[in-house]
Order: sequence, then C-alpha cells, then structure tokens
Amino acid sequence: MKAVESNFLFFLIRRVVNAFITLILLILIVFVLIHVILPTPQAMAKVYIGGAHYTTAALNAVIARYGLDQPLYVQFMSYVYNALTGNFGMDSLYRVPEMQLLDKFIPITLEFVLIATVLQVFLGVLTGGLAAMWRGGVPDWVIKALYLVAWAAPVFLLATLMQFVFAYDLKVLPALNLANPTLTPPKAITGYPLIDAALSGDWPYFDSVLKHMVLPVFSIAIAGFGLTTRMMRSSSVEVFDKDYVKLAYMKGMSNRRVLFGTVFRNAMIPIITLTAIQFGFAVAGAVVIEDVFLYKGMGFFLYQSVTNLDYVAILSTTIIIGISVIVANFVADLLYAVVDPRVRLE
Amino acid sequence: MTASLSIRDLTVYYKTPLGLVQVLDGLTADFEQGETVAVVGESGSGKSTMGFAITRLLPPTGVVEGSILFEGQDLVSMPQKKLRDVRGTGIFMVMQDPFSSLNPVKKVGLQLLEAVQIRMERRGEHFDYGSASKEVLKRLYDVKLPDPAIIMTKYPYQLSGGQIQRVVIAMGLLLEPKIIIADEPTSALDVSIQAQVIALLKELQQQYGMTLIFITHDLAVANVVSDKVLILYAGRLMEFGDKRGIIQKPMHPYTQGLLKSFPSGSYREKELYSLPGMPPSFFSLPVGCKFSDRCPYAFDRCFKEEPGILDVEGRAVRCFLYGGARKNRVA
Amino acid sequence: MNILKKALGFRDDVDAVRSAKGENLSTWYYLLHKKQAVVGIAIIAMFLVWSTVEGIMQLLGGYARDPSLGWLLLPHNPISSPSLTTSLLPPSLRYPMGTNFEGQDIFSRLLYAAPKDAFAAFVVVLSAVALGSILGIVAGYYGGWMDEILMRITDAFLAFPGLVLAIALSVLIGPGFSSVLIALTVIWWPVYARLFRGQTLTLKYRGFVEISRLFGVSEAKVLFRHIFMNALDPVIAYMALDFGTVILTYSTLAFLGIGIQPPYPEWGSMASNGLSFFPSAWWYTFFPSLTILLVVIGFILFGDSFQDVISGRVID
Repeated sequence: MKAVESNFLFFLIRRVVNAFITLILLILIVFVLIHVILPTPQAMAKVYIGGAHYTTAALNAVIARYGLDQPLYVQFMSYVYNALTGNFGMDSLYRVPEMQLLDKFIPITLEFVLIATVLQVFLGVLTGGLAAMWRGGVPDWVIKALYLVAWAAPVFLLATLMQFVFAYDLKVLPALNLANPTLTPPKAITGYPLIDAALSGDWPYFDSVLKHMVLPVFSIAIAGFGLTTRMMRSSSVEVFDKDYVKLAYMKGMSNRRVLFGTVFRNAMIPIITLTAIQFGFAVAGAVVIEDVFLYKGMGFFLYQSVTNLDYVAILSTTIIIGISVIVANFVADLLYAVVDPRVRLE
Repeated sequence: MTASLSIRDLTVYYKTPLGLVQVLDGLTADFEQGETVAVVGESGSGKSTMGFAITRLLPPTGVVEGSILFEGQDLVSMPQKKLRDVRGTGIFMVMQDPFSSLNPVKKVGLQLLEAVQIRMERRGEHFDYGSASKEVLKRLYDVKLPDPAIIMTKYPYQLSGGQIQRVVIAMGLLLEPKIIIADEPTSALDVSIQAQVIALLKELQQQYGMTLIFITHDLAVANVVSDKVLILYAGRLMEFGDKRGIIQKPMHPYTQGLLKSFPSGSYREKELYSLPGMPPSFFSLPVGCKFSDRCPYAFDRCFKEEPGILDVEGRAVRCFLYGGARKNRVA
Repeated sequence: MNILKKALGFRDDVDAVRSAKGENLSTWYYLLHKKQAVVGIAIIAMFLVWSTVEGIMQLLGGYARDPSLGWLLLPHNPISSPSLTTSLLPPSLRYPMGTNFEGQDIFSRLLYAAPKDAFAAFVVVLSAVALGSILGIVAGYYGGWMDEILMRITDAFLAFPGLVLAIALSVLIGPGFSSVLIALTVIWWPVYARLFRGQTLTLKYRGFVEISRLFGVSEAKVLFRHIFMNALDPVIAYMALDFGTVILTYSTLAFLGIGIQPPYPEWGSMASNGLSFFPSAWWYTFFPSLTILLVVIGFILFGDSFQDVISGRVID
C-alpha cells in the first residue's frame, strides 16, 4: 500500500508542476502575441487609454504608470504576478479594477458551463455505449447520424432552434435571460445564482434560474456530445475485445455485471481526459449562447468588450478562461490517475 | 466412462468484409471426464477458435454450427442466460496472454473473490467475506505463489506474466469447474517458468479430477502433459488418440512430419527436418485434403476430395491412406 | 507518393485478397459506392464549384471596376440599396429564402458570400498544415528541448477553447478579413504540429531514413520526401474534416461580428442579424445557419468516409 501511495504523491506533484508550467506558458503566449501586435510602448499605451483622443503627454503618463517601456522580461514577470494575484489592471472603459467586473460574470457562466459539460459527457457516454453494444446495427448508425448533424450545426443554429420550438412555439421554457427579470435576485453570497438562491432559501428564484438554464445548457450539450460519443464507442469496442472481458464472462459473471463492472470502467478511462476538452468546448459555446439567450455571463462580457474595443477586458477574459481550462485539465489528469492505477507509474 | 464433453461436427465461420471464412470444419471428438487432452496445432490452425467456440465466447463475427454436448446439453443451441451458468463452474478457460487476462483497474484479490462469490451463489451458499478470503489465500498458496496475502492487494500491472498465469489458474480452481481449457498458457512465459506452470497444472488436474484441454503448438509439452493428443491442421482434426500411440506410431503424414522435426539428439543428425511449404491461409484453402500440398504421400484423390474422419485401431485419422471414407457434408 | 498510390489502389492484405477476387481496388471506386461519401462529395462539389466560379466573377468585377459582375449569376443583387418595400418578406418563388431587413434577397446573399468561406477554409487549413508540419516534423525528428517546447506550446493551445483566443486575436490585430484568417491560422496549427510530430516519431525508426542517409541524400530531402510525404496520408483524411470545422468556426466568429465588412454579407453575420427579427421573420436567421450546417455536413461526411478508407476501417 505504501508504495502505491507514494507513487500517487509523486504523480500529483508532477502534475501540479506541469499545470503551472502550462499556465505560465499560456500567459507567455498571450503576452508574446500582444507584443507582436503592439510592438511599441506607445501602441500599448494607446490601447490602455482606450479612447480615440489622446495627447502625447497622456501617452507618456500611461507608459510611465504601467511601466510599458521596461524590459520585456520584467514586464512579463509583473504581468504573471498580477494575473496570479487577480490584478488585471483597470478596465479601459469602466475605469474600475478589472477583477471587479470579472467577479460578477465568472460565476454565472461557470455555473451553467459546468452543468453543460456534465450533460455533454453523460449524453456522449450513453450514446457511445449504446452504439458499441449494438455496433453495426440500426441504433449505431442512427446515433452516428444524430451526432454528426449535431456537431456540424453551428451552436447558434441549435440555440435558435431550441428557442423556437420550446420557447416560442410550445411555450414551455423561457427564451431569454438568467432568470425572471421581475424577481429580485437573492443576496450575492457566492455569486453563483443557484447556490445563492438555495442558501437564501429563495426557491422561486432558484426555480426560475433552473428553468432559464435548460435551453442554453442543452444547446451546448447537443452541439458537443458527439466527441464523447465517438470516443466512448471506439473505447468500448476496444475493451470488449480484450481478454479480460472474456475472462469476466468465463468466470460466469452476468452480462450486466460484465458491462458495468468491467467494460464500462475500463472504457470510460479515456473519457475523463475528454471531459476537460468538452469543458473547453462548452466555454467556447458559452460565448455564442450567452448572446442568443441574453444570458449575462462571461461570454456576454467578452462580446461587449469586443464591440466596445475594451482591450483590457478582452485580454483578462482570455486569460481567465485559459486558467479555468488548465484547471479543468489538471482535475481530469488527477481523476484519471485515481481510476487507472497504471498511470501512477509514469 | 461417459464423456464429459462431446463435440460433433463443429464448424466455425467468421464474418469478414470479404465474405464468410470457415475456420473450423467438422471437428468431432469426445473428451472423457478426468483426462487431459492436448490440442496441438501451428499458429493459425484454429486452436484458439476451438477454445472460444466451446465456451461460446467468439466475437460477434463468429458463427457456430454443429453441436457441443456438455453434461447432456448442447452448448451451441443454448440461450445466453443458461450459458452463463455453464461458464465458470462448468467450463473455465485460461487464456494465452497473461498481460491482458486480468482487469487492469481492479485489485487481484477482488477479482478472485468475485470468482468465489459466483461459485457460492450458484450453489446457494451464503457469501461470507472472511471464509472466501481464506479460500482465495489457500488457492494462491496451492498455485505456489509466494506471499499470497500481498498478491491479493496488488494490481495486475504489478505482477509478472508467470504470476498472472498462476492467479488465473487459481481463479479456475476457486470456481471448481468440470473442464478447464488452457489456451497456450505457457507460450508467453520463460522456459523455466513454463515447466513450473505445466507441472502445476498436471498436479492440480490429478488432484481434482477435472478434464483438462491443453491447447499448444508444442508437441513436446503435449507429450508431458496429456493422456490424449488431438492434432489440428487448417481447422480440421487430423489425428486424435492416445498420446503414447501417436508419439510412437503416428498415422497421419502431418503428425509424422511434426515428430520428424524434433531434433533426435544424436551426433549423426546433419540437418533438421522441416515440413515443406506453409500452412494455408483460411482465405485460400486447397481443394480436397487441406494437407495435400505438403504431403509426401499425396495421391490423386487427395487433391480432389477431402477425407472424412476414420476410426483406425481406436484412433481417429483424417487421411485416405487408411481407407476410402469420403468426408460427408450436408449440402 | 503514398496518397497517389492509395488513390489508385494498393493496401496490402485486404487488397491481396480483393485483387484475387477480381474486385476493383481504387479508393475512389470504394468511396463512390458508399452512400455517405457520395452525399458528402456532392455537397462539397457544389460548394467548391460554385465558390470558384463566383469567386472568379467577383475578382473579375474587382479588376474591371465593375462590381455588378459579382452578381451576374445571382437571382438578385445581394448588396442592393435598402428598400422598405421588399423588407423582411417571407420565402416565396421570387425570393426563395425570403428577404432581410434591408430588402435584399437572402438566397443571393448566401451565394455571394460563399467564396469567402471556401477561401477561408483553404487558406487556414493549408497554412496550418504548412506551419504545423514544419514545426512538428522538426520537433519529432530532432527531439530534445525543441520537442519539449513544442509539446508544451501545443498543450497550452489545445486545451484552450480556440474560439475565445481567435476572438481576442482578431480584435487585437484589427478589423477585417485578413485578421480573422491570421487569428484562425494561429490557433489551428498546433493540432497539425501534434499530428506530424506523432507521425514523425513513428516514421523516424522505419529504416528508410538511415538508408537514405547512407546513400548521401541530404537531410532536408529525407525529411521532405520520406517523412513528410508518408506522414501526409493520415493527415489528409483529417484535413478533409477540418475544412468543415474551419467554416464552422469562421461563421461563428462572423456571427459575433468579427471579421465582417459590411455591406459584404457573411453567413454567420446574417444569422446574427436575423436574430433581432426572430421568431417572426424566422427565415432571416435560419437559412444562413442551415447553409452552414449543410456545407459542414458535406465535409464531415466526406472526411469521415475518407478516414475510413485510408485507415482500412472497411467494415466498421
């Protein structure tokens, strides 16, 4: 037992270091790209000022203030430090600390993106498993047709379709917004609407948020589940042919036991890594979804920033999203090691 | 003695994108309770297919025809649910590649306990973790694994090939089956370990009186292990009978060729004999006797018709040299 | 070389038997007989042929300073001046997909915008392959710290949702079509770098590298002829699929208003504009979205079948 535990510890440490390096690298890439596009301190300063009118004096002031003429590596280090401590500078437009704005929007998006990711994976595992069980048969290619169409459809098409059918036509679900605008939101304790509502016991609001979340979440999930279906199917088929599955049957285990205890457990292992990728996909989808459904989260914020050319906001949002995806990958890596003991050796 | 396993005209096809490929044809043999039969064949002779056909674990592309009678019931026509009851406590199979035989994500001990649980359930006994663990430990000890208690806590990837094979054998013992099929259990192991595992199997078989079907490509191993030998070539039974008889006086030209290939150990031997040619691919089998293109005694009829299985002096042989029986196929 | 060989036949074991059976081995034969592939090829052909023709017309119009050449082949002028009388008309014989707010025929606008998507797809994928192959092959071949760095960079890129980075980059670089293309290429190359690196690692030890070097062939030639050409095989199948994905991403960016230049129509931005009139004038957002769906499906169907053939997954 001890040997296994220390293996795991080393693995953990290695993964943390890895994630950290990737994080720094991500910031580096963004940093490099920024400086390629805006090579001089003056260009950068113009961006910071954000308005159309500026004087040379104002430019110089900004350069001095933000240290834009310092050597690049110094700038980079301070940028990294700032990013990690949550200091993203002042927003060019609203003149408040960027973090304040981000704090408002991040939880809203995170909430439904996480749910969307779970749903995506669930749908994918279900359909992939079914397709594998009946491979070659009708369910197999029906599922394939479904997820190909779902994958090919732009997210906004799915979103508008769902809006049309469920909100405007059948009128069973609300079309827009986070929650019913006539309801007053509960006290913002965590910033996460569902959690706050639950904590405050504000069940009508909770209910409203939930209902408003259905269409956005399903739009993203349907657009993206195909990736998991594909992987699950091929993984299941591969596992099914393995000797240890035959051995399981050979022992006399029932079909159900073999499927869930052996096949599934092994087939799902690669899905764990895929979940992190699905998370990234859901985040990307969120940008579009929030536009269609007028859901005021990070995507909406990003979109506004793009329209208003709020560069500080754009960069900060990008980095935040990058961080969240790296964290998701890290969690996936850990889970993978928990589930598959062979990995701990690496 | 009543046969514990009777195979009659077993034929196995695989569905491939190029059509149906016949791999086993007209296999007919009786296996008595308590005896060890070595099924000898080269790679690609269909011997693994035979093992999987008996346990009905062929991939979905496999089609089985004929009959396999086990304890009076036909396994080929049996529905999956009943088959489940046969597997494990009726028939068990040890597979060739130890490294893919065990579930990689579960501890070895757990997998063995599962086997005990299944056996107990079938016999209507109540599963007791304590006594089951004791049994597992005892069996691990029986298969000569050092430190059984520690082995139980390990994952398959932490064990060597030889250890895994023993674990699987232990699993078989825990299930107490009537028949154990061992598919080349030693091919993936070092020679020294091979000898140990073979000796172990022999010992256990004698101790518990089960029928052992030992699949191998190595006649020498077959000689050590078995009471009877079944020679398989191109998916067909070529010779089947008492081991001593076959080794001393082989009837089928293929068997003769196999035995000739063994180094005689004498100084005067200049060249090692090897059978000319190669075994055929199942996609392009020769017409007539499948061994005809390599047989030194082949004559006219051999190339046109396929011989049926003849009973000659208590041995089953598929060769026109011993008589004119034509292979009967239901058209 | 191998792609050509594959296109004309030759895939060892299965082929040996098939040729023995007298069956036609050509990849194209196989593809043309698979329903899925045929549909895909049909859609792609229509899309590409039209885009090329229309694209040429538009280019000619640009040279001749006569933009009307661009809509010579179209039922209506796609960038006609706004007109109230024809605004937001539902689909009819005259306007098969209805009209938009400015009274312009949506069908004509979709046709007019097609060449841009085709162009974007080709430029981005080919650039990504060019860049990715060089970096990937060099990293895979020489290994060492170059390889490590490449792996880390691609890791960082691959985890990141490309769309978000594309948005940020496009905005930073500036408005316009070319900035979108650059942004997309930047986020697209890591996948190909990974693919080529993986292939290089496998091919590196295949022996023909050493043999060529023994014969004194220059390193660059070795890299190109042997490694690149061989690595290309599986990558080509992926590329077929990828064209569709680029179109999807490009349209989504257009939907968010990035890279568009009014009054030139874009499928994505048309869908976005149509949203304001949804659900009453539903055709305004639906038809552009459906067009995107259709074209992308075409690439997916073809790419999927192509992948099956190349990898020999003939049964499944």
